[in-house]
Amino acid sequence: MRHLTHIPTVAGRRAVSFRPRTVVPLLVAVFTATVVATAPAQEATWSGTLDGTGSGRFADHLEEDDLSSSLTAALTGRGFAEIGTDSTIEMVVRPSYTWTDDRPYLLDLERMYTDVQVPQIVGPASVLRLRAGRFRLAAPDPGLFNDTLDGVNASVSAAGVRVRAGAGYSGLILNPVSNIRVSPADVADGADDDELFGPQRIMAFGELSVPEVALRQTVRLYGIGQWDLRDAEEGETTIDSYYGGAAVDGPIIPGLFHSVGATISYADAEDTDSLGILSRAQLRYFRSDWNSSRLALRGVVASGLGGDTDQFAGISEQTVGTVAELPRENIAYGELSYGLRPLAGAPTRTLRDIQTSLTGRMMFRMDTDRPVDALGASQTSSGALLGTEAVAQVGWRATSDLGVSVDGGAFFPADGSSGSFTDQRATEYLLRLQVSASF
Amino acid sequence: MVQTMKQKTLRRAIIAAVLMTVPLLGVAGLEAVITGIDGKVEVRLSEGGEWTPAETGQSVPTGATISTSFQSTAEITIGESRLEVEALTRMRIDELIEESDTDRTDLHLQVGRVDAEVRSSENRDTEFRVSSPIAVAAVRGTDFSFDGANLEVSDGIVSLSNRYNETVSVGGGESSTTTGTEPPATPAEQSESSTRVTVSTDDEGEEETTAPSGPSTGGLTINWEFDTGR
Repeated sequence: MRHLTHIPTVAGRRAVSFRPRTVVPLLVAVFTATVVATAPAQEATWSGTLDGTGSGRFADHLEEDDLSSSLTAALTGRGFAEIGTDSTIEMVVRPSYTWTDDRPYLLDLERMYTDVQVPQIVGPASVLRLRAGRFRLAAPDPGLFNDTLDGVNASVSAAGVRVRAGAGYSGLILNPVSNIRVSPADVADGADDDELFGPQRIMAFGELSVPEVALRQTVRLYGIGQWDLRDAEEGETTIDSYYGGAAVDGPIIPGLFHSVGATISYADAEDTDSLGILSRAQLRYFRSDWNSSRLALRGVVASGLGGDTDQFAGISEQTVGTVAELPRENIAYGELSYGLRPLAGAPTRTLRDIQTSLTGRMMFRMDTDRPVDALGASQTSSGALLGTEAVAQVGWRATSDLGVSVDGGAFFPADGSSGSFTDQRATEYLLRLQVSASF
Repeated sequence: MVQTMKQKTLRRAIIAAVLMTVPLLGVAGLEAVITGIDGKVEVRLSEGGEWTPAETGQSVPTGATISTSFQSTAEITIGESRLEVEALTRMRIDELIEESDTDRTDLHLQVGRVDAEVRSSENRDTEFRVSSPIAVAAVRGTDFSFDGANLEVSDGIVSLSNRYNETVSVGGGESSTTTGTEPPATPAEQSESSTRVTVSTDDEGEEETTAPSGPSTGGLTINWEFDTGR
């Protein structure tokens, strides 16, 4: 268990020893280890994974082909014990080592959390689920953040209602790993190799979910807050932001499911504030008898600076498009994808678990007075179309311990009077290979 | 007229007997009958009793357990409903009640798999429930639940609940699953996971996952039909 007491280090930097801000995850680990060690029923397992990715971007406007690769090796340890009559506690630890082209190595602590499950917490048909430590915490609207944080997530289900609340701190996540980007200072720090940790921000949320309130439709209401814990330095600004939203999802006809939702953002900076909106709608149609077919239509609108709304302020850095990777603000896009398992009727799972998919995507600017924040953006065009994208993927889960996927796609930027780019931005191609193995 | 103590006692006894008899007039026992056997099928009439070979036409009472061997199946008819007990299954009949307007069936699936065609007659409700150690599934509209790990519905709506009564409704052509402690997957989640192949071998590495494996305590398929023509 020695790795539990080590906070990840980055090559070429001094090792980080025990600091006051390492106390919380350390206490969680010690507490859990104590409980697991003394609980009457316990079990422990471990596993390892190797994940490799290689990709290449090719376009005339790129000075040279953009090739990159990475390899991550990770170990996962799990401890499980029953406490009391029907309550359980589980601990998960996952340190990892990542090698990339531009960084010799990155030693990270991806996960270290404790799960506690306590039934009958507020009645005979209720359950409390609590997770604390370092883990991937998803906001009620995952478009806001779905990142590794140090924090807590609790949910209670009772009487047909589910309540979830959580909070997390991003200041202990390694800078190369952190994806929290709210202010320009966050972006600048993210590119600064001297910054060891990510932005020091706290995220908190609450969510009320009423499953199948009518016509098998589930309604969710949520509120989210994000606070910058740093003092603004000269020439910088700190941004706190608050969000409220609602979502409805459920079936329409057999095999057809919908999901609609909207989140309103209010960003509060020293000298200004803004009100934005992120809305989305999705239809998915599944036919297991058509070679496990999946057809999905999706639309997303993120407000910009024009009209009655301001720029939508996200928390995590989000991009739109597999190849294009455009910033997710001042943008609307529609996406149609179809996937199937061509050998769904094969006798062996090895053959059945091959999936192919095609995705088409069209992207537009919401505010055509403001150039898109991307390479080759036109400063004068008032055209709304950003471009179209086509992506094909083949995924194969050869065995339970081996998975392979190949993605290929192209982004066709729109230029001229109806487009948002100049002709300097050429068609861009992406080819990516991913391999995942476990032991 | 003054009643003697003996007369009062006799009158109370008659009233009590009548009151106790009235409910019985509206409640009768459904009958479960073995209507088909393929291979080795055995029946145990009570816990700790002897296992005896099942016979076609045999009535299986409440409390009895049916066991099928390797490559063996049995068909059971309960009222208007039909059960296909798949191979390597052990199932106990917990309740068979025919009330004035409701047929109630309660089965406990210890291990294995059952395919069920649940039917109800005109103007009658059917409460059909199959339980396993980890979950509950029930035909919607009859307030009854059914326990199982994996649920597939061909027609109609069935609710699937876990140990903590967290429930999802599963419609025709949809499926769901539960580990017993996690909330049952919504049909949309289940469809997503069953049509997508996950490349990552890290359990938590991707949001999309392959179909949850669930415990191996068995599963249940319910085919629901409501016959209004008779």
